[in-house]
Amino acid sequence: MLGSIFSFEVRRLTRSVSTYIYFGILLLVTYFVALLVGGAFDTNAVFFGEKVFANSPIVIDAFFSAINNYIGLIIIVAIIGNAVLKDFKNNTYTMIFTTPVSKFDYLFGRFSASLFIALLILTGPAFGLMLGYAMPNVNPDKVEAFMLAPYIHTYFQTIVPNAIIDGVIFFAVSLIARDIFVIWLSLIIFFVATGVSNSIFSSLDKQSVAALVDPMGNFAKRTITKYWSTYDKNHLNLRMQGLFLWNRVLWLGLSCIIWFIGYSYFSFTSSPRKLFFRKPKLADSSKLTFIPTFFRRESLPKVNQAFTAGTHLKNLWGLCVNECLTLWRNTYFRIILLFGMLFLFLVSLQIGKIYDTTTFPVTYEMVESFGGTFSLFIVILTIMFAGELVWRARDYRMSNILDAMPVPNWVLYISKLSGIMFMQVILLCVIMVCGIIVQLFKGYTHFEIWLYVEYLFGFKLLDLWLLAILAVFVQTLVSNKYLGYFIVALFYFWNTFFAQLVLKHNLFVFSSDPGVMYSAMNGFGHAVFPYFIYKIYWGGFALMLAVLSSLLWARGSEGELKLRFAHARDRDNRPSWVVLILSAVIFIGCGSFIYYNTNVENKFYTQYQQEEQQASYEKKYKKYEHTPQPKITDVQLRVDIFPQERSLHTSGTYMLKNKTTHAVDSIHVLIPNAVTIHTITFEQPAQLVYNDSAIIYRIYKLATPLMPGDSVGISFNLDMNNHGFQHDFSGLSTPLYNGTFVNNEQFLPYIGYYRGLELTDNNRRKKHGLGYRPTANPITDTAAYMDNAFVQDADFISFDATVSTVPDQTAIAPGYLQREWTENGRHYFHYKMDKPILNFYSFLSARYTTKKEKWNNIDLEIYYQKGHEYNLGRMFNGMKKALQYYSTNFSPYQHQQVRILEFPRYSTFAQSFPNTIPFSEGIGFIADVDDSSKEDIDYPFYVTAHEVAHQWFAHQVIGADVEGSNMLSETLAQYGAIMVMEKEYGDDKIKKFLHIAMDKYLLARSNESEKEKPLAYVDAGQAYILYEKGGIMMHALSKYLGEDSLNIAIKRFIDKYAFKGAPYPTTLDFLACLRQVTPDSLQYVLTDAFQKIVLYDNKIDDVHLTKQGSGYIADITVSSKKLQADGAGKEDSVASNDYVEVGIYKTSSKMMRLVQFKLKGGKTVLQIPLNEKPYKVVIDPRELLIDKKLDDNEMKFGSDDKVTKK
Amino acid sequence: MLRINNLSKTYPNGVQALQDISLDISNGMFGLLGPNGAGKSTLMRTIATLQDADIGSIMFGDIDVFRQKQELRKVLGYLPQEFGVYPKVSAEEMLHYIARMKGISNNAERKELVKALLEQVNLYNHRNKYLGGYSGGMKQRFGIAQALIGDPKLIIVDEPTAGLDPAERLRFNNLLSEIGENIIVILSTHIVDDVSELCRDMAIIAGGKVVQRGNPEDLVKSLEHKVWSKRVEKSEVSKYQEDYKMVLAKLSGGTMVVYINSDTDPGNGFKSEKATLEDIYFSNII
Repeated sequence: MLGSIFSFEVRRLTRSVSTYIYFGILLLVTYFVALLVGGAFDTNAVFFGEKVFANSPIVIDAFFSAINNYIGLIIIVAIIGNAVLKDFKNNTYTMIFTTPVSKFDYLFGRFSASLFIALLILTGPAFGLMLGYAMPNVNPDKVEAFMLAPYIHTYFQTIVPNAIIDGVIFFAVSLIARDIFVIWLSLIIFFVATGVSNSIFSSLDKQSVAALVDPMGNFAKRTITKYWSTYDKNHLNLRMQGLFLWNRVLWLGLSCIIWFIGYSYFSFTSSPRKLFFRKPKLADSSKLTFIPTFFRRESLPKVNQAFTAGTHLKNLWGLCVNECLTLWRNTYFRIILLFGMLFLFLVSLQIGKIYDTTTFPVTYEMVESFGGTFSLFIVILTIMFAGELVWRARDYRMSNILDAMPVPNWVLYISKLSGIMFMQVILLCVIMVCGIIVQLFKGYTHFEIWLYVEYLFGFKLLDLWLLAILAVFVQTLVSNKYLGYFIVALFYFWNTFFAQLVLKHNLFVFSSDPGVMYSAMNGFGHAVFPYFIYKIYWGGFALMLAVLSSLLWARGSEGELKLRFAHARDRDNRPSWVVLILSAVIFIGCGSFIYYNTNVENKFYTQYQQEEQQASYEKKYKKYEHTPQPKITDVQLRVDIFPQERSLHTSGTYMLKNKTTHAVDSIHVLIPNAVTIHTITFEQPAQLVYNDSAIIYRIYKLATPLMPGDSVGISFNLDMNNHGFQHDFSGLSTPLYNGTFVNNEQFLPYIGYYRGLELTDNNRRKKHGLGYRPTANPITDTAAYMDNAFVQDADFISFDATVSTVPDQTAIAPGYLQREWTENGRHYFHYKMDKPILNFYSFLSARYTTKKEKWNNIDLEIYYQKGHEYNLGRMFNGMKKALQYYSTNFSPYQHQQVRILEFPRYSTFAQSFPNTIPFSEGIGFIADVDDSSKEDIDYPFYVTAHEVAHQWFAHQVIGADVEGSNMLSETLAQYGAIMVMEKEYGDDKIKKFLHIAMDKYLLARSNESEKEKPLAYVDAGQAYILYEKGGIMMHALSKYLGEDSLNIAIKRFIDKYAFKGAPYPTTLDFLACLRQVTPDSLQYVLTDAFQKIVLYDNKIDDVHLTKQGSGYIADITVSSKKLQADGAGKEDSVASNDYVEVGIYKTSSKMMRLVQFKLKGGKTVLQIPLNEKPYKVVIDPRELLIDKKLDDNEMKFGSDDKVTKK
Repeated sequence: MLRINNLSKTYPNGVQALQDISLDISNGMFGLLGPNGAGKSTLMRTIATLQDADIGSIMFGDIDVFRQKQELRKVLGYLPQEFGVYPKVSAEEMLHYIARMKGISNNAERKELVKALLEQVNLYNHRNKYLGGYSGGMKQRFGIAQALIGDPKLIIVDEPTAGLDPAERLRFNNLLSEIGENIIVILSTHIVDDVSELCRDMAIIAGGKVVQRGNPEDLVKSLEHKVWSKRVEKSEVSKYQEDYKMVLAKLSGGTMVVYINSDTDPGNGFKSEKATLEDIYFSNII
């Protein structure tokens, strides 16, 4: 019986067209993905690291499973969810339930057959990927030889188990609820629930839970692959092991249980068991039958019927209210609402976390985090309810009545649409209400209701409405609701993730805009106008869709589109066509206006074109790289900032000194792209002999060559004007209404060829016909010692700037304020620096509130946005503690002032300029640090300490323009900050901080795009080495060598090189200072830390406690393995005999003893006598060594009875 | 006056649903009788603007139904053969909704009208109940109530009694019986009794064609003394089918009774039967 049910069902499904369509869709989508990953398009879509092959096992696994986890899941639900349900839909159940087939045979037959077919369909992505990678237009560098194994592994490890799990869940739901809507609803809940659980368990210490809880196994797989290096990713197959295996076992086991729950719930009856209370059918009272009632039309009250536009509108209102009421009454909608609120409250626990520390629930954080996470929810509901409402009359067979009503299509159309729009408004209200509740709950009462309204109903809602119109349009055209869902979902998927990559310009990306970001300082700033222009543009498009939807509204039984088109041309519909044409005019008009702004007034480059420009720059001018050029020695500027116009005018003079041994006859001037030149003049006659106006590279020939040691002044008069709006929101790159932050690289002339403009990515270089380029000058390139790593056209300069802005703003530049005055309605500030500084300075202008303190005669000032007072104390404390530590241990502070200046959160960093630290409002000003919490890290303090350290490491001593030099600024600044933090917050916090750093380092190194370099040769772009590995290593050195010895080495290094100018030091010079203070036995530590990539795999194998007298003896079996990695991440174990610490803990967090051992590779048994009974033992408890697997580094001692007594 | 001229319709699958149908229908209740699949519903739906014909025209007064759908809808009341209801909407709300669609924008008037309608169809007590809980008869009464909103001049009632139990059917026909004054009511049905009970004018439609047209009583009269019956064995039925113009063979107490048409006494044991509309029906659809 089972067999025949199975084969019948399989035959039925193989004859069904949809089976092939599903397969085709999966194949096509992944085919496209494969092309994208394989670099067939001119976009640089990097997944899992630049050097990871597009068809490496991990990438295949990721896309094969992701496509099936989303699109595939929908298909599973459609097939398996309907396996039994269709009998109820088609009423065939009456026939089946009355045959002698057993319940098990029937259910299992149906289930297994549909699962079987689903599993065949789910192979689609594999073929799509294979096909895509085999196409000739993929980048051959990105694709390695075909291997079947990864596909097989993924199919059997992920796809099949997931399909079974999903299939069982939704099969069971279908058996219990017998309602297709409930099934789809449970699908949403499934998506959201897995999303929520993943985000809740996302923190580092809950990874094992996350791995088990995620039914799709993604997190479990992540625990295996997380720290895989590029080499591993290209060579290793994902094996079912550890948590991944447990995850599979757990969920398959659960599926069996769920299947049997569904099975036992189901009965061979016509109606499902009651999920909700159901009322019985009403019946007429029997006496009615025998009293004839006749209908007397004449007794009906006379009413006025009118069919004018006015009454249509009036009735439309009523109909809209009706649609909204219907929706509001929908039980499912209410369930979703409740569920959504629950979801939001869970999300609120994670608000704005940086270093596991939340921010205050300021309104924009609430809206962004809620709006962001909840928006997928709203999108799915929009798509679903668009189908529901459009098809409702037909689904309930009410259309026979309603279609013959004397209402024009547009009234019907708008009433339905308004229902969906209403739902969206309700959902946005939910965000707002939940946001306010969460704020209240956290004791935050600055609600900014208006900001909620602006953000949700001003910006967000428009996008949702556009989507609603699109979804209704699709549902109007298609002949089947589910086809409609599928098309809209697929389109949404495409539009969100791929359209921009493939179509480049956002004019072609539905519902696009240049981007909006709220800043407490700058509000929505200059994003508002372009945003609305784009929305009007898409509004015009949507209006066309709306008119077409209304014209083609399915009415009556003539469903064929051809006939509907024929009717759309009826005379009655003329006004609609007029509206259609008008909306086309809006669409084209706004489109042209946008094009004018983005492509004519401003320059729009696709990524490829941008690279092409860089390539052309290099091809044309690389030959001048070593042409002797004078260096800037003196800068005098006048900068006028116009916040409202978002433009900037500057005039100034550089003094250029020939520091070479050659006469210089021509001077090369490079001007940033955004700048227009009024004049450039030289102190002595000079002739413009070359002018590239596209790249703005100019060569001036001096009448008399500049002799070595001589100087010449160059004066310039430049504008940085803002024209219209750009393709993408420009953030900090231009002046802002409030919160301007620009630096000299953005708008001032550069002398000579600037290497930093070159195209760096070697894959892309190849595409543009450029040769291999090392990421930095080699450390042995002594010629490059003459330039510093920051800016090559100057050493140390003198600086003087007059900055002006609007009267209510304060303008700030490095230096000390000499004079402040108002003139001609402008607010002027004259700054002058008393000491030489690097040629690297910034200008800021905003409506600041100021707070000042003093430390040892040094002025400490914070310029901040009113309302952001939360962490000023922490920042002042950070400045004081940092100045104290650095000036005691390294060298005196060179300025009399430290200023922290808040700037808008368009970028989230802080940066140190001479006596000036611009600090983003997004990283610290609104942090909610709970000092009582073990988890929280006072990152406003940390960032401050780090930036203050840069006044030493960068602004006192700066490395040469060779590899590794950034370590001298970033890693040393990080070291300073860690030491200051350790003094302030103690070992536990530092341990937590380093633990996060370890994870970041290991994670980022596995995504390395070029090659991982040892710390001493690190590239400027390798932040994960500079900050994370550097921090860990320097902290370790402070323990191995002792803090004092290490600081002495740093002090000597500063003494030797600070403010000296060329030649600049390299990391080798720094290392030399370190080696001086290091005993021979520890020299290997320096080599490992700076010149090699060394990792360890240490673990505790076994512990045994023996009581001896009043104390104990702990026998601890540890194994140690030292690995050395190459740049590609290939790790080989090497012999070792290294110092490793072992810590014995009294409780889970309190260490009682720390012992250092010299461990060889392999197993070692250690004996440690103890006075007290220990709780656990940890190898390398202070995390001095890089260890990929930290969770096996500790072991608890057994309970009392396991203690051997002697 | 509803004037249907030369209406033909062929479905994409090749079924000729309507073949050159012409009918003039004037005020009063008009019965359209025909077996399942005869094209009744196609015709009804076509008149009700829900479907187009390939050829032909329908004029209602001076409204050209195909060209001025919206105009016809303004004067139309339509109770479709098959319709569902929104389960979670009450009768009162649904009638309000439909009344709005029928252009009654004044709230007070609409309220009064809906109340009156609900009372007339005896649903007033259940007005707040969800339609999902209504029995078949109640649903049909709701259906007729909605069709009568807005003082329609043309009412189309498509197979309203199919699937109703005898009591419900009786009640429904009572309701229908008097609404046909001064306006056109087209009642399509395959139940002969509905027509004989309610209509003064009728047509029989079969295979997409009008096969009979007239007053039910006249039609019955035309068959007077022409219907003959005889009780025969089951095995003999086919023989009789060959020999006579057989209209109907039905079971009666275990044996068959065959009915034939004959202008003269066929003899052979046949006895004369009183003609009924049913005979007209069956003699026309075969």
